[in-house]
Amino acid sequence: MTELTDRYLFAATRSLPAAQREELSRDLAERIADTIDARVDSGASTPETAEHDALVELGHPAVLAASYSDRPLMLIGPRYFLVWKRLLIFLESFVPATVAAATALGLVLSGGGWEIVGTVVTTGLTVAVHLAFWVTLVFALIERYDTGAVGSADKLLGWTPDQLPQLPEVRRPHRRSDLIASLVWLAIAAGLLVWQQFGVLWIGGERSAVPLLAPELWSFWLPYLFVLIALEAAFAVWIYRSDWNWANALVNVALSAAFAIPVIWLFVEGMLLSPEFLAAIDPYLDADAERVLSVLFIGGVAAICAWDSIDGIIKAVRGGGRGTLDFPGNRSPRRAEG
Amino acid sequence: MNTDETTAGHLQELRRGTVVLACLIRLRTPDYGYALLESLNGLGILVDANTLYPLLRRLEKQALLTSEWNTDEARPRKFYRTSPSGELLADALMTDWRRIDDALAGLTTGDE
Repeated sequence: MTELTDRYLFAATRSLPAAQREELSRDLAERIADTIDARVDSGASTPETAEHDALVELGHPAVLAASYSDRPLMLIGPRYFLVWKRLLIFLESFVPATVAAATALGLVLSGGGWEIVGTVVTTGLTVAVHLAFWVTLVFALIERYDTGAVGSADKLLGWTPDQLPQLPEVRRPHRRSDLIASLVWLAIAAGLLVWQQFGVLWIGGERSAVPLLAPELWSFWLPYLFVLIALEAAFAVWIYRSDWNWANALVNVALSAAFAIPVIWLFVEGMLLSPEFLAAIDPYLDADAERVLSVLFIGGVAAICAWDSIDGIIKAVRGGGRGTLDFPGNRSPRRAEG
Repeated sequence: MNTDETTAGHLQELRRGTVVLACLIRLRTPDYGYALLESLNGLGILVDANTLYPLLRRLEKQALLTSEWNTDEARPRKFYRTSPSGELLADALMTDWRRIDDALAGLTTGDE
């Protein structure tokens, strides 16, 4: 036995516990010596090159050691792959976004401006990467140290035939109730837009005639909102008659943007709420409270519209039917209350 | 090329279990790894060293083979021998092998 064989034995066994190392080393030494002899006897190699050739025949020491010790040469095997994938997709679908949103809210409330975008994106990415790493690590450990006590993939996933997806034609059981909910909400929204004109504040038990929204908006923006409500209603009927698809999802996104962008812009420019209303509530709010309420309003409008857009896209991806959440008013209109 | 690979893959799968059976029967007389490899290949049971050596260790871990180091000769060698439970398994595998053979024979004659 020469130095080359010793080095091979060392490389093949060094990752094993000491007890197994000695034993596997003896086994491999026997095999290598027999292979060398056989190569010389058969004339496949000269005595000088036989050892080198024999080691080439054995292959990479780590691969050889793995085949001897039955250790898996994979991170996550077929038994856990689907569970791992499902859990990872589930967690990644909302945890990073939630943490990023919470971070954004916190930073804005403590006085941050546009420069927080970088921090928020970095936070989201960091959370996503950490999530993927730790979930995968846990599964890799289970793959290596599970003694087989856990059952089949079906059992792990808790699958029963009842969970099979519905066929497309019976997929939209809530079609009618969705439509009714949408139309009712839109009617309420239109009603509130008119009603706010006659005052929403009760000061000292008496309704004060202070409009919520700036009266100048009647020249263009309030009519615009009424047109938008009418379009939303028409769109809800259209969705009822057809179904969600990519074109409809795009229209939905456009309608959401047509609401959110002007409303947020008007709010930021200070043109949304009437000066009388602001003057009336001013004594009750300090600067910090105003800032918090402003952020919550802008974030709320943006979040509702983003949710509605994503909901439509998800319904389109699923080829129609239920969206992310299944409650009446899923397609509710957006209100401009401050 | 592709069909060759497919054929090779299926042949390998078909032979996988038969190597275990051949080892269990052959090792009723104790022998060491390389000699077993030679004799199996000589008999036409084609097996590769990278399959056989790990297989012997696995069978030993499952107590189907027992092993003993022979230090009589200049070079120490590990001799494997079929254990009683290995004998039982060999009988069961052999019975099943014959049953499959009969069934396949029945299928082929049924075709004609």
